[in-house]
Amino acid sequence: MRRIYLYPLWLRIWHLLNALLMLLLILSGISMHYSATSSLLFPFKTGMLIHNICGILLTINYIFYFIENIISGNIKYYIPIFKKLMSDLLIQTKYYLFDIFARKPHPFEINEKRKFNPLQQITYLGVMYFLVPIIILSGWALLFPELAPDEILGMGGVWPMAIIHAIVGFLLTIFMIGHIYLGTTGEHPSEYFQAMITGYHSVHNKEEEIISSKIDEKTEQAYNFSHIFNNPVTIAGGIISVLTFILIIILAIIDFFRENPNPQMSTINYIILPIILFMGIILMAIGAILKSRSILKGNEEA
Amino acid sequence: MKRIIELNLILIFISLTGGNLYSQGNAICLDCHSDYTLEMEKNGSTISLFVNNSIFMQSAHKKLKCVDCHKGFNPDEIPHKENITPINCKNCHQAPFEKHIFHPQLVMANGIGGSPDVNCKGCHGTHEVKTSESPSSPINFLNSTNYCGKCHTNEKEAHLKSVHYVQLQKNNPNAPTCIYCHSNKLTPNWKLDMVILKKNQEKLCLGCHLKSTIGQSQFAKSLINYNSSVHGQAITHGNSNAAICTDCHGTHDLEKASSPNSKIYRTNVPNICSQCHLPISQEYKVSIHGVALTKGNPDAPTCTFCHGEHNINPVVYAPRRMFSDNHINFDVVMRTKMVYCVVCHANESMMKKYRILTTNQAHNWLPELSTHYETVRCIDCHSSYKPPSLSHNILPPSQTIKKCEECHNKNSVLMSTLYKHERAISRQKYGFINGTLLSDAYVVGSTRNVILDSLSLIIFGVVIVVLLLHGFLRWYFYRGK
Repeated sequence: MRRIYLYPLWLRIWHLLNALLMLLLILSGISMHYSATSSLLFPFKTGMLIHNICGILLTINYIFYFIENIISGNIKYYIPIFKKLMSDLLIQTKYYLFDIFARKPHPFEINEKRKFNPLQQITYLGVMYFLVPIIILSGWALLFPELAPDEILGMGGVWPMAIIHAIVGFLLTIFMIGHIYLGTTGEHPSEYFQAMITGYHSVHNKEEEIISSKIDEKTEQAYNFSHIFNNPVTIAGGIISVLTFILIIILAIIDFFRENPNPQMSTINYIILPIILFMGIILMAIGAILKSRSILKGNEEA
Repeated sequence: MKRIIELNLILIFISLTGGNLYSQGNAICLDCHSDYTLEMEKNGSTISLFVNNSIFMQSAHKKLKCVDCHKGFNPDEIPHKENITPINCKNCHQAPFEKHIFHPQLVMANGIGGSPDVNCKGCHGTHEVKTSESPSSPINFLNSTNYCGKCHTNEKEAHLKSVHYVQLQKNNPNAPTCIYCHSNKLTPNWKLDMVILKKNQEKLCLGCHLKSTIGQSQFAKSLINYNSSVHGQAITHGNSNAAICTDCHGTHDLEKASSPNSKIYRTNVPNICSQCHLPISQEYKVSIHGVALTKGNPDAPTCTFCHGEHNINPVVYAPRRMFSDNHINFDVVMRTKMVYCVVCHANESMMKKYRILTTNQAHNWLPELSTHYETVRCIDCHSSYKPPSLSHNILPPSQTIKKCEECHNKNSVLMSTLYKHERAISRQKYGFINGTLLSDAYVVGSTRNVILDSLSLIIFGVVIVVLLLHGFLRWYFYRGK
């Protein structure tokens, strides 16, 4: 194992500030968006103040990042190799779906040449150079509404800004949750978090890993996840989840164009179908666990 | 009539032939009956048999013999007749009911016996019965109040206070007596349909107050449109609940609107309207106008100020300049009916009296004033109404709701203008930095949308559940190694 200095100080400071501001923005944003007559997390006025101040600070932080990222050349890590992009993304996705459970090494080794795997590259590029600029610009448009256009396609200038701001906010929230979760996929759950503080990334040799992991040849099958997930319960759960998810989206679109909202349909779409969706997802996991157990049991008997 | 003439002819003949039979005939009777102690027992009660000849001689029947009415009486026998039957006035007065149409019970009865309200003597008396010319006759129009009031005491009491009675006292020949009005079929005792009774009543009042032959009454100006008013239309279409004259003005007790006891006195108007329009009246009474009215503010508008009295749309006169000075489009406020608000609230001298800001002064914070006046009605902000019904609960200024979002939220273009305006005002107030940071003018709910909210929550949920399960599976299988 060797340690390489991947994250310079400016990047770590920016990253930490960005994380804190984003967290506050998400919390105050959620508090304000879902607030009714009573306040949710903060009183509306407090939420507004936190959101405004953090938004302005985030803008400054983003400008610093934008400039420094180009000057230091750090931006090169964000550019994926477009030719192999699709197959690379597939490899990485497959890893997160199957091989990660078997504790197999990450398919794209991290070193001085490659800081991000292809999935990270495409996501970070989208987030940092598409979503964040949009949310910053729409946020400033809401802060200075007189600068927003009077009308956009017949709608007032403020409403589209507010809607875009909210939708991008939701997407960034989802990114944040996923980003933090995937931060736990190191050798130890805390490894990547430590790296973002110290700046040093640990590279594990493949041979080292093979030695360290004492995989029993016979039980290897129990950890072959493309095999384990291939069981009726998981497949049924998967089909249920995918179909319900598509159904929810279709019904939501129908709901959007409906003249008179139908409360029964809303109940089905926003309460019953999501419950089925969650059950489908849980079924997938249950199926995998059952299959792996039965294989292990069979092995022991053999 | 024929019989009376016949009778008179006989009497004249007798008096001409020098016979003193007539007076003698009565004299025989009065020999005994002038004694005021003369009594008899009948059915256990004592009845006076005294006849006051001096009263009888002033009566309409003074020329009649006792036996003309007391038929079949034999002076030599006591009692004079075996079965004393009641006197039947109809023997001479053959068509009494056409003259007595004002008293439905009487018309429906036969005039003899029964309670005082259905026999002749109940009103006309016995030996003292008077001619219609006599000032003390009940038929004399001045007397009907007292005469009918013998039985109808409550009505008499009410009528004595009424403006009609005052006119009677002044000998106004056009003032209505009991009989004048009640000769029409007005009361429930007629057992007629309510609508017909009400229509008769309406016709009766309008007969004098609108179509008077003596010259138009002072009320005719507003009454001329009564039939096209909502109340007039309702009764025409047979709505038995429709308000007619007497429903508001009262019947026997009607007084001039200037009298504080009048049902239509300024402060009593909401009560009289509440007979039918109860919820509206209740709203009005707690409104700032209703409170001002009860406090005795002479300018506070009552129901009729806006809705009119007999007709529905009289507009109080106000100079056009008052509207233009206040940036108010006259045609628009006429259409939205807000003209009634404006005529007082743009009147500087009236508002000064009560230390109320005029429309202009009170709305100087509002941008695009004339546009707002054209699109927003006064009551949209100043009443506690829930659309679409109008509220009469006009709120005091402190409770007035700045319902800006109600319009500016529905329409995204308007929403932008409101939001921009609020920001600009906030900056003016708190300075550039604080105004930007502290402004709470965010148009709350503009991004609220069932679909967006639900989908976002579902996707958040899916992401969290999937990641939790992913983490659980990772932990589960790591454990096995």
